[in-house]
Amino acid sequence: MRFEVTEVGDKLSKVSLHGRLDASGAEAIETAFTASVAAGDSDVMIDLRDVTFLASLGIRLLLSVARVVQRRERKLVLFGAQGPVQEVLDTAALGPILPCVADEAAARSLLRP
Amino acid sequence: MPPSPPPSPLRLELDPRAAELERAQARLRSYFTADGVADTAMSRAEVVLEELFVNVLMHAGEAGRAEPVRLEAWVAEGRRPVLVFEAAGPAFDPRQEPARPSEAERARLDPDAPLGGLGLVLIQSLAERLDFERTDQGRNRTTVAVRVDAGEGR
Repeated sequence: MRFEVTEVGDKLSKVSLHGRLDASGAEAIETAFTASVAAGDSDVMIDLRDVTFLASLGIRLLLSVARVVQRRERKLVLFGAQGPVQEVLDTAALGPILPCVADEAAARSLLRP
Repeated sequence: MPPSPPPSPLRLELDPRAAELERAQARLRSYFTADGVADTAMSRAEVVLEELFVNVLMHAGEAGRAEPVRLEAWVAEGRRPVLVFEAAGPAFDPRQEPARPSEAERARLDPDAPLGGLGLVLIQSLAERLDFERTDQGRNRTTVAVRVDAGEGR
């Protein structure tokens, strides 16, 4: 599991995740991922297009960083989840706290209406 | 009655530690791929295995970590993956846990509420059928027939 952060606009960052966001994947990136997303004053889009697997500890990590971002009055949105990953997100019923949209354009629209 | 295994299911014995979960998932993927299980159902089976295994690592205490986990897997009629997961630890019946508010609802009610309970929700949602038995040896034996989408069972 790995990730990279790209500034894509004024106070807007994209975090791209790659690999399996399972127990070991979440543990591998937790500290650096949380620090990267929490730092700065940007709203955050998290790109899930290259996430091949998601389970509960991965969701907990996403929820945890979403809380940090929201406490700092910034916004966070997920986009690009593929079939099984989207199904896990739907099952967890995270909608309002952790919105997930189809693509980057939709994520930008949500953050910059 | 829970589903019965064929004469030669996949059988794995695993130490209750994180690295063993990766080994089991890789083996499960290989086994189900060879038997023509659809990607969606296979992914559901992997999620179920992960949640059951992580539950042992996080909640089964010393008793759970002292004995190996046993996993049986096979493909039932309709290309349906079936898992039998057996581990030591305090009794844990995944069918009997009370329904809980969604994570979003809990966060709305209390933004500082601890995160958790998602694994059980995933197991229940991804299962077509869920059976549980507390064995005479004091182990939790959970049988999960994984949900298969219409059209993927042929």
